[in-house]
Amino acid sequence: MSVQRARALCAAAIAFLVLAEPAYAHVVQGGWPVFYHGAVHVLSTPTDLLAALGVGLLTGLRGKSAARSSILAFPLSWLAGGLLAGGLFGGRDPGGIMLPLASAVSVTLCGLLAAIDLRLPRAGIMVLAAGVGILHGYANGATLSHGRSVPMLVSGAALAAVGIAVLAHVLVATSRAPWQRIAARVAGSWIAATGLLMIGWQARGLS
Amino acid sequence: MGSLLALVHEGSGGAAGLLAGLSHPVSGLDHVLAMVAVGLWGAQLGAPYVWVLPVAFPMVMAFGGALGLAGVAFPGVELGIALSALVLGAMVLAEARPPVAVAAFVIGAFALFHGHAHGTELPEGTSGALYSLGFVVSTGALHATGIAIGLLHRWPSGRVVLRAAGLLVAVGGAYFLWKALA
Repeated sequence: MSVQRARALCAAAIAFLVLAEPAYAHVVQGGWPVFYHGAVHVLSTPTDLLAALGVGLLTGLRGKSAARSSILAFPLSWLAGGLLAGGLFGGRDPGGIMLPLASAVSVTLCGLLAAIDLRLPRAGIMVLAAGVGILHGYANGATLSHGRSVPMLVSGAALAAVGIAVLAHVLVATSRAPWQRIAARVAGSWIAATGLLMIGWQARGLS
Repeated sequence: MGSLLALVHEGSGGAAGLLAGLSHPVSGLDHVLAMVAVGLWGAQLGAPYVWVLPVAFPMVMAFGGALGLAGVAFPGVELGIALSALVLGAMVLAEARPPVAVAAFVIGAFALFHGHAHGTELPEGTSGALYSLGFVVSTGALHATGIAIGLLHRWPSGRVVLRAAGLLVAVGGAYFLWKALA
């Protein structure tokens, strides 16, 4: 498959997500298996979606070697975080603002690093991807299960997250024209900006 | 940026939050003029400004927005917003090329004012995350519009058109400044 064709397919996949038909907010009530509930949650939750996009942009800007180290670390850490939450809280929402605030900070960090195109070493990107994965997986496991199977739920979420990250990575890593790399950095700045506003939202809840 | 229509999972204010965020930057002519002028000026200045501004501006503006959401007071926000349209329009009109630090300071200061205003004007009952996303996307689209128009800079007649656009923005800014002071 040519690079152009691969890029076109990735762009079409992202466009498909953008133009998705309105989805029911609680798909489990429609009888969907828990696995898909986790996957749909990531696709329909800004913090998880933007975090995954941010990781994809970051690895894309750094190239294939960064992706090789993160492609497993990201979803596995997401899964581990979810299992940790399931074990600690039995899948109950711990409450408070720490999880939402930490999620917003992770989104901001991923976006910011992509925006400034910081030349992190491969190990640094892997650690960052793993950290983001653990945090968001933990949040999923602690807040979503409602008595359902945490491993299945978080597996679906992790798969969706890495899928989004890989799509974004491919789009950026295969870009050749300078403006395409700039567009990736602009996208990173938008993600960071959204994260900053979400942090403000959490602060608003405190005031 | 994800399943926009499907993002109603963010609670009862989901869709309303996204639409509110998308529409807010374009709901005030003062905001629109300033955001487009940022793109125009960036295009006039050329590289690296033409891409540095759309990368940096959203983040600085969001920081201002976060301050507004958190309840941090900013004196003279409306004055700052009106001044931004006037000054940025004047910069475009004059094809000003200040030092990088000066341009960055000017843009950054105005970004804070605009962001703060958006942060404090949030409607009740909306989803914060979706509002933020819509708001950032809409602002970025305004910048992109300004940059696209600014590509006219390549032609001599286009440069005249851009300067005329700068004059219009400056006049609009003067009007809003007069309203803010009155």
